[in-house]
Amino acid sequence: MARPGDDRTGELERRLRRAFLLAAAVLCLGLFALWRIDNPRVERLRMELADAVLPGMSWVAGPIEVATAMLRDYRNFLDVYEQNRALRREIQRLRAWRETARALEEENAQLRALNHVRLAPRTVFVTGDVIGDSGGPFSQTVLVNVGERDGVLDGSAAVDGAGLVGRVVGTGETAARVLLLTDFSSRVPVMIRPSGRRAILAGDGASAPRLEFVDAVDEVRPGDQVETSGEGGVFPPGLPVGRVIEMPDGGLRATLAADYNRLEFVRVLRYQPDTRIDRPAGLIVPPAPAPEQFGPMLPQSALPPGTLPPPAVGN
Amino acid sequence: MRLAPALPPGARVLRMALLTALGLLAIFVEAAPIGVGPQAIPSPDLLFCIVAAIALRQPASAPAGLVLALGLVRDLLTDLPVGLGALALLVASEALRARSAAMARRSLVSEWALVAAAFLAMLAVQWAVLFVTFVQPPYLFDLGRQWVVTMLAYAPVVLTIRWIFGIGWRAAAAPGRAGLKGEA
Repeated sequence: MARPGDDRTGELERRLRRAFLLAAAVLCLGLFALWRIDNPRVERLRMELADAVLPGMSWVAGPIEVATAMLRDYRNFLDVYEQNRALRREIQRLRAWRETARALEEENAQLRALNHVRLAPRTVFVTGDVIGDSGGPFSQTVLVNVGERDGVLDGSAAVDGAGLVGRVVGTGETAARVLLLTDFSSRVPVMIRPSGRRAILAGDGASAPRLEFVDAVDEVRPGDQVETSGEGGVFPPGLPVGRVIEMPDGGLRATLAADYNRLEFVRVLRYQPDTRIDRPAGLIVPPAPAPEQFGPMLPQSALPPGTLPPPAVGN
Repeated sequence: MRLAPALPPGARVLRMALLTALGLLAIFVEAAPIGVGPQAIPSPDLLFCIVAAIALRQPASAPAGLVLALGLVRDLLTDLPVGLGALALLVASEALRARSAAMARRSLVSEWALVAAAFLAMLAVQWAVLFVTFVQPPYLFDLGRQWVVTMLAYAPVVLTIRWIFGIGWRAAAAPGRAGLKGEA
């Protein structure tokens, strides 16, 4: 009778197997420790692997995406009549808004011309196809098929049509990994309109990330607009993020404008922050005088002695 | 009980190549963006299903080195804690491999129960290690969802492996086992 698992192998092979298992355990735990301690290095490893297998991933992801899209379209098709009516109503409403927007745009242009406002610094973008996601409950990232070759930088903002999606956390030659706003490790500085209050949008695995460190909670109302504040110089300011909602326990969260369920393409922004003046008046103040001089030296003969006004004595 | 004679070396290499191909396909399918974000249903752990099914049926066709390599590739590609998922997969596959001969005489349902227990243990260990090393571990609810989805995916994976790729039980003539043919 053979023992379970004994592939009619000798004692030697069993020992070899045990040794291999031990070595594998040490290797894995070592890699885990490296991931924990030196994440950027592991991220580089990830992206090199992603570069290598990207074509394979796209081949597999392509048909799956097409199938999901067809399924979704079929569902849409089923309630096309109801949708049509809803869209008509929406168009009615938007016509009015269009006129308002035109008027505002004109006014805005005039005001800008009056003000000589310098427009936002150059922001260009590159559009990428989402070819992979982390899939499991351990993290919330997506893989896009644009990389350093296309000018994607570590830390760039990724947006979809409606709002901010996340931040690039790893770049390969042809691929980049985007950390979604809902991931446990996502933190984005935001501003809440119209009150102009600052906060940090902190992902915690829920679909609406938490708003932390709101500097005046009572000025923030549910429904207020959340946008990036541009602090830190990583994201351009003013990217729409979502809207404030209030939880039953009083905590503030933001529903995201970006539609994660239909994330097919993302635009990765290549943003260069504007020139910043971060030192006080470096160009205006004259060079500091020599240490022994206090104030400008007056020639002694400029004023005859005695003509100086007497020092003020308390009157 | 006499086990079936070992496969000729050519067939074993062929089956290892098959495991590699199926494993990579499983990783790519898992990574495919079907639903993104916290509300989407998590992808089933197809790599685990394939490795478990083959390690139970043909232990020699799923060598530990290959399982480890596939696990590491998956960890790196799908943004898991590197090394942790691979180690859990390797240990689970070794545990299943050790019960291969015994399971050959049981029904699909008891195999399913064993695999479910193994996967539950894998998730629990990963959660615990992340918790201990101060990484924010995933919500238990999400892990539970992944466990359910994976167990639902196990039966189709077994059927695919059995009927399309012809990987049956090593001890095909084991007495007392009805075999998949009898159940189908």
